[in-house]
Amino acid sequence: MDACKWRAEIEDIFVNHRARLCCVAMRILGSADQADDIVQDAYLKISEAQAVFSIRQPIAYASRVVRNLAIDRQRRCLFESALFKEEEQGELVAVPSGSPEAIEIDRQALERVVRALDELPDRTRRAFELYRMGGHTQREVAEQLGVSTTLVNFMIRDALSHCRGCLFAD
Amino acid sequence: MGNGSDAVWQAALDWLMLMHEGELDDAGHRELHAWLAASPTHREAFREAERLWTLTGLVPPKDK
Repeated sequence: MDACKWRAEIEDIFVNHRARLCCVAMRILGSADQADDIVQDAYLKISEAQAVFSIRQPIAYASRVVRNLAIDRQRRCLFESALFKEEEQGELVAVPSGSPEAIEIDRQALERVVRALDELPDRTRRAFELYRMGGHTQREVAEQLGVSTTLVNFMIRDALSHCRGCLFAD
Repeated sequence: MGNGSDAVWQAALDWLMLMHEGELDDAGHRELHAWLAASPTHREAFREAERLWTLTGLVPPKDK
């Protein structure tokens, strides 16, 4: 799919399937406002991503991105609310927000990460995809690939470390 | 990159994985905070790990 057509398709999905995408986020976050924020954030991130690669199944892709961003945000909220309970004790150090909407996506970084993932051995890439994009636990990935959880843990570390090396290399 | 910060990076990955598998309870979250509070190097490594997590979450699976 060429870039123009793909962009039009993304616009179309975020207009005509917005309710469905909000529903995906809502199931995870339990708040319509937060779900709406996440869908908007997914739109911004995917708009940037569409310059870097094209997607075969855009609706499935958009749903997956919304779902993953919603999960990331929910995890981050749990962290922050656990700290909030502590706040009266006055020992909090400002921790940079890792909430997905606070993380900017730029094309060059995405290109580097895509290249880094392409360089991984097939099995490592598969393990990482199942874990990251597929949202499976390390144990589930191990079962699917027929390897030990320890090996899966190593493969995920390898994948992220290799991406880090490529992203911050200059 | 590397240069002795590797142990810190590996620890950041441990925390990232625990967090994203939903394995941290309140006590775990407080431990993570204590780890982040302990050093700017820890915060930087965790920030990098989270950025990579977000970036990799946008990459579609290979040939499917």
